[in-house]
Amino acid sequence: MDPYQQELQDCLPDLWRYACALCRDPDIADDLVQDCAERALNKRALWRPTGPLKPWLIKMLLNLHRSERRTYIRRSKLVPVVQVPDDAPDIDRLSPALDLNDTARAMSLLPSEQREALLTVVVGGLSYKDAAKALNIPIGTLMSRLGRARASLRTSLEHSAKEDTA
Amino acid sequence: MNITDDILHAFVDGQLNPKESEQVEAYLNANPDKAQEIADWQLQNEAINALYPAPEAIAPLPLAANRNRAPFGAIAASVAALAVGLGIGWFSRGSLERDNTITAELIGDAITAHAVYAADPHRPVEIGASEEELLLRWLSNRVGRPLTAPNLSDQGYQLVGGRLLSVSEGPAAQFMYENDDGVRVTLFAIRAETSTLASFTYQETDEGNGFYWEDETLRYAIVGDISRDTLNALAVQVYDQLS
Repeated sequence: MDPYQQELQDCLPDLWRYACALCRDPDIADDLVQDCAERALNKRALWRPTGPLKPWLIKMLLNLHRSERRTYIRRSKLVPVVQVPDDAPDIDRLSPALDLNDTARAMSLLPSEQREALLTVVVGGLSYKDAAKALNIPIGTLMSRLGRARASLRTSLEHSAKEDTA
Repeated sequence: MNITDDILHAFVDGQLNPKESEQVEAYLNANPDKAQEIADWQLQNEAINALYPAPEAIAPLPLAANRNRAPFGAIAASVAALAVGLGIGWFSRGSLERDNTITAELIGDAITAHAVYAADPHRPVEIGASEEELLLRWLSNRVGRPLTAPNLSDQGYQLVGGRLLSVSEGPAAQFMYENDDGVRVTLFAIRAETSTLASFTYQETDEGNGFYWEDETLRYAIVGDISRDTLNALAVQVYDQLS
């Protein structure tokens, strides 16, 4: 296996997590990662080895997700909310106030641009510079979207924590 | 170091060096209110990562995909093998059985249009580069996708203008570029009906050589009677600007 393939393969788990987080449907995530890997294999002639492959893959996947989303809207397909995994860390280990279901719900309430910014950094694991490039926005815009996303999550999660104890 | 919100985000996302992190920690020790907010951000990150765990198994990529210019079928087969190997329920889709004849036809159309119009000394384009905005608005309307004319001046090519073409797949745009030596290349763009596999194809004919590729919304060909390497460099430049 050459370095390009090795790098592509090493990126696949993170790419899949990112796809899953974006579309909230593991089946669609499979399709997105497959399309993305196909494109990466086909476009390797265009890849200039000047940096890590992952930001490029993330950008490609995000674009695929956006165009797929349009496709799915046209088909009026219902997109199920992803199920909380069985082997997720124990809630107690995270925080008594932070339930994964609440987090999933709070995430789904974010405007898509804020959710994409947060996921590109947290799940995609890109630097701010690479994330801004992948999202095709200035770094200042990325930072303000991150800020708004985190503030909204805090508000929604505090709210649901209060409901739980009430 | 001035502790801004940007620095605090970078702290939570692990994007600071150890020395900067220490400074942030000292700041947070002195500011309990802010520390609570940052602790919440860290919990959010943990919860988000816990929500989306890694897939169960990842198999090696097949070596067949190593060939740079493997025939389409070979790439499709190797990717199919990759899909099975991943063990996360990928399945083969229609895009893998895409009809290559459409691609060949489109490259043929692009090369023919290049041969007809690039050779025209007096009226190579319908709208000139001086009215680029009008040109783009018109062609985008007719092609049905937002179009831009990439800047190829780094390669020594200036935009001459463009025209509307009619080909078997529908209306298409042709942008013409010319270098100081009067050599012309054309960029052909037509809408993509479905988001399919982006292949990157090269074709040589007596009338000219062309590179063909696709993105999510458009199918492109760049054509010129120039060497493959020069054309490749132009294709990469266009691709970089449009993707």
